[in-house]
Amino acid sequence: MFGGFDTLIAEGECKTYATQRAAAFVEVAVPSGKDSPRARRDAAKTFRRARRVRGASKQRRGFEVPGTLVALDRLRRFAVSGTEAMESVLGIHEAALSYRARRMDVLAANLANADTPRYLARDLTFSAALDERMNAARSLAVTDARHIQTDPLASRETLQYRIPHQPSLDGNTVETDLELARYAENAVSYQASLLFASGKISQMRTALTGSR
Amino acid sequence: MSTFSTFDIAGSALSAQSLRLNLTASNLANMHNVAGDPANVYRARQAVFQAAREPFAGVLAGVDVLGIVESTAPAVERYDPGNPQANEDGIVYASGVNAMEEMANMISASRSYQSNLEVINTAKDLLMRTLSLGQV
Repeated sequence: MFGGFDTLIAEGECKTYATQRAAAFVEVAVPSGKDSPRARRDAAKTFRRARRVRGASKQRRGFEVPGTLVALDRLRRFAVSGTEAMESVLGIHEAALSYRARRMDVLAANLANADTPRYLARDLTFSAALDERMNAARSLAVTDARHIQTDPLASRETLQYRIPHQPSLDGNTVETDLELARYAENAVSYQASLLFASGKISQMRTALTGSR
Repeated sequence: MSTFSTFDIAGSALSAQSLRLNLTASNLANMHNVAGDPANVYRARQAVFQAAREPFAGVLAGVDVLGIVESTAPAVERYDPGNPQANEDGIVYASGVNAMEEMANMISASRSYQSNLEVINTAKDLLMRTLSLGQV
């Protein structure tokens, strides 16, 4: 959806979230590497055409002319492909949400097996998840089609066994109260991440639509 | 990770615990059954749980009921010639169900059921919030 940002982008009346009213700047972008007076003139012409298309609807901040997308420069900066744009919008909160969801499963499995003999309670640790994430970022570069691709998603085993305070006679190490407490804590953290993510989204919406 | 695996995990525990609760109810209901032959006497039943393994992720998930085992506790012999079920020696055999054990089992099962229900409710709440993410 945001794939066409490498092409000519004209921007009009961008409102950034931080500077709501003072954002009547008009910036005409030209393709990188092709910055010349002539390219700038062409871009300005396209921009004027875009304004005409927009017509009377002063409220609309995002508008479209054939072959031209008008949007926030922030979006353009992020946009390499559509998915990457949205990933950058949600930032670290997306990764945090998926970590919390995974931990929710692990803790639910512990609670489900609270009465299973010889079941060993397990948990994810935040630092292990962080390490995994950092290692994925440092994966091997692939410069040839015949290179072996390292899959950043093929995670190391970050699950660890819990050391119980009071091990039970049947070899079960689940302590239901503690697991419930951790589950609740995890749920609250999930909601916090969700709150941050939805804040980001409403920020983007405000930026795209103005302060309506 | 699938979005709904929490429901599968906690759901399997709910069904396992409700089976356990049913077995306890059956044991308590048949506690006072008698029979003239020790082979025919009611025996306490217990469920055997095992952690279920998710086939792909290798993460332990949910709980399986391996089966139901009958207690091997000996039948209680009682002299009761007036009982129509007594054998020719006037002896009846009562089941060896231990009421205390069953009550403790019942409380444990109901507590586990509650905690898994709470897990499901919380997961549902979080998912609903995630679904409405970005909506005004």
